[in-house]
Amino acid sequence: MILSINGIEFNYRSRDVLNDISFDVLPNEVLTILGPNGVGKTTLLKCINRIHHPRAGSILIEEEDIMKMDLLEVAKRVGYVPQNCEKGRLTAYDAILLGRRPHITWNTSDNDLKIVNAAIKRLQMDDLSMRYIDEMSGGELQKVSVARALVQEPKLMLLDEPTSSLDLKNQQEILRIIREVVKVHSVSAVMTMHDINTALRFSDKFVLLKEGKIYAAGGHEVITPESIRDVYGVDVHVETFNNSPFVIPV
Amino acid sequence: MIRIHLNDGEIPENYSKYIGRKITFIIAGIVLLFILLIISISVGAVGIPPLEVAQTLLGAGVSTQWDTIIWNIRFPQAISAIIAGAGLAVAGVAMQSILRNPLGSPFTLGISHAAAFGAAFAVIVLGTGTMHSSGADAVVIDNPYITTIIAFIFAMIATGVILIISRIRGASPEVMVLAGVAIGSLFTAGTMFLQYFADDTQLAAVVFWSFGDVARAHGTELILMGVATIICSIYFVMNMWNYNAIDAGDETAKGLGVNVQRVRLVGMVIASFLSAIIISFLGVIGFVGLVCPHMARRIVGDDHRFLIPATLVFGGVLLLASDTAARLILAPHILPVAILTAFLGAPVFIYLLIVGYRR
Repeated sequence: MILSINGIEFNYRSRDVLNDISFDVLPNEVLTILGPNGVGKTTLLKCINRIHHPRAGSILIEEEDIMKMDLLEVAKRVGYVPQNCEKGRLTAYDAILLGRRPHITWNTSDNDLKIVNAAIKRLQMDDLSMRYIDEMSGGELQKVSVARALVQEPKLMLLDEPTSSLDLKNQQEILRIIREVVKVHSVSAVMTMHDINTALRFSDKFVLLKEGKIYAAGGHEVITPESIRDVYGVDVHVETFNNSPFVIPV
Repeated sequence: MIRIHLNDGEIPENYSKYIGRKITFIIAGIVLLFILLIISISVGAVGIPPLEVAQTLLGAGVSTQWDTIIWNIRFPQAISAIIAGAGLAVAGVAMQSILRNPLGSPFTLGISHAAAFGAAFAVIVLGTGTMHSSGADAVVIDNPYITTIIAFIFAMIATGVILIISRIRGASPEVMVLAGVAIGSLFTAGTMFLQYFADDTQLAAVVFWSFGDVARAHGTELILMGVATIICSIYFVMNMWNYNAIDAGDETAKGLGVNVQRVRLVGMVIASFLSAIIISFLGVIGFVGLVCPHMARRIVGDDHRFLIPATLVFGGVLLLASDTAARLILAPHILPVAILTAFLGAPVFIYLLIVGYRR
């Protein structure tokens, strides 16, 4: 088990955001959290990454409680790609190198640079690597963020809307790379996403959140017209194409 | 433990060149600083040939008179300018990075205003300043140590208040800068209040103190400022990766294992402490802490591995060059360097803003 979440509860001051959230993520698995805006998807990712502290419940990574780990230890195991990334006057190469921060004590080693270069090659970012990130488009910056999380060499990757500012080609490319990394290297990924069809194509498991609670969790079978109507309040048809379901709003 | 096995890469040649260029800039800055040091010592009311200056500094002096001028007057002043420039600049770059705000500096945060209030308080209320009969050096701070200590205490009080507010409202960049603006206004009002009730002598002494001048520090003061600058700079260098991470956003930094709140609070205390020490010894020297980091950023970028050393060097170069110019510009009158940095700093900063936004 890479990630095991048991009975997480979280509130912002007086407002309950997450209630009794429990699910597991196995090695080589991509899990996507679905749900309408404001339901607590991002908050849940931040709890898993210890950016937020849940009021109750436990989060185990490789059977170890993350609340008992120091922050650097968490960062060595969990790579986080936030929705928004700041633009400093750094080259993409240096911005990605920052992902080695949990492993660096004083200065970078040749090995760190090699890992960064390999990630750049894997994400086909050779042309971008020496460009400054404050001159990049949102999509290019998103790729930099994903590469930065990759070079952390985490066991679990958390991606908050990883394709939100990407065009169709880059969306497919980033998700293909994430899936490839997950499948080849005993890593797991937890994503949040608004596009249900993209999620269906690239994910193994789903958690549907409604009003801060888990409405349904499981494989493709949890995506049904009823579940989508209950969670999003939208009527849809669910068709099958190439053995994979896809959702069409009515 | 390598998990994703991204170890099939090579170190790109253009990255090595790019890093090499930054290091070259910093080394060139250090060389420039040494050349400026020789020039700064050689010029003045009594001209000393640069070669003789170099020989004297290397311990092979040829003239007792020059020895006295160099070791007792010009060298301490030049070193004071280098230390103060480097210290204020590195405190400025740390504040800008910690607050993620390009306007972060001892001035924006009200620390300089608090120190100036402390000096005014010492002179007017505690009576540490008097005026001699006449002449250019008419105003004397009788008890510079008490003035300095009170200035330092008030600078740290300002820092403490900023930190308490940030503790209550969170250490976000906006909260810290707004708290600094409010505190700066409060201490400025306090200084004006004291000045209104001061007599001529006290008023002259307060104004004299507020003209930051690097010629004020000698011996022990220089050592104290130097040690503080070195120790604080080492702390900032040790946190260079944390500052790079915070530059990428608080959430990214937390995701990379950085305790953002702690780095921000400790960094602010250290940067404020360093500024307070320099300001309380030398008086208010404006714009160095604001402009130098921006100059360094334009040349070496935002990567703190290079930005912190570059800022230290540029800070030293800028204040030493300004002080040398201030000594010569109206010779035989010697201007306090703070007047020149204020004149130069504002247009340079506006220029940097305009050029920066066009980028």
